[in-house]
Amino acid sequence: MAPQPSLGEFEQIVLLAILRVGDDAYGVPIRAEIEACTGRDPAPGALYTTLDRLEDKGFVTSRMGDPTPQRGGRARRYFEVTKIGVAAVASAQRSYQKLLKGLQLPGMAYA
Amino acid sequence: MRRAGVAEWILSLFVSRERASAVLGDLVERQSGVWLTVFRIAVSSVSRDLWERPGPLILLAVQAIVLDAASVVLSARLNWSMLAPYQLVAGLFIGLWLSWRAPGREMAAVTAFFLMGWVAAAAMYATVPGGSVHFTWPVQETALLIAVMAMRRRRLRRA
Repeated sequence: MAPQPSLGEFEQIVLLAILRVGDDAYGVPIRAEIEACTGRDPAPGALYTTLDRLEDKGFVTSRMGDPTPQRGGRARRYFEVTKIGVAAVASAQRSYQKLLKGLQLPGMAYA
Repeated sequence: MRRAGVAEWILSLFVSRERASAVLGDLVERQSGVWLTVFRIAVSSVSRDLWERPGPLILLAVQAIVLDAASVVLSARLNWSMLAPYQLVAGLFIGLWLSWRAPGREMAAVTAFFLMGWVAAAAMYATVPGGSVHFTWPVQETALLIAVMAMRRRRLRRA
């Protein structure tokens, strides 16, 4: 079995944002969700290149929606996290949890 | 809106037409800056193509440099080396050839060609005694780029 490609920090953030947004996950709400949860507005260039990379790795799939007038007749590209994307982000988060276990960080307590 | 159309056109040279359209749609909807995003996606797309499978692109760039050198030798033999029409035709020919050999990765191929060309030129100037750099309007390079962009657009229309 081929080793699963690893996930960078921003890739995990993007995957989690797509999962949180759900069915309406296209560029604008994904970016807004990241901003709302992390307090930082990701550069659009970084976001779109990360989405393309995640799709190349097989962690997300995308489909085109219908064109809308407020977008100048351009369609939305909706993203969905695949099963291996969910597994990869869960595995990465488990690693974080293991590393945090037993640590006393300011304002946070981990059992 | 016109600016978004131009940006979409430029972006579609580097990514698929659907992706370019969706990105520009998002930027229009959110009224975000366009050019920095286009630039970043273009650079990322080219560098990804170059890093993922560098071997074939480097080989292609070397072959194109050999073609270029052959055209320079031919033009010198015919005393045409400074003629813009000759450089134009040579540039168009090499651009079409690069596009034909690297379908879908046209911009990465042309970037590899320019990078390798600059390295070769720098090595030549460093090793040839009394070598100097002359800055002239790059007719051949411009023609090459136009040929590559035209081929890319043609492929997108057919897709």
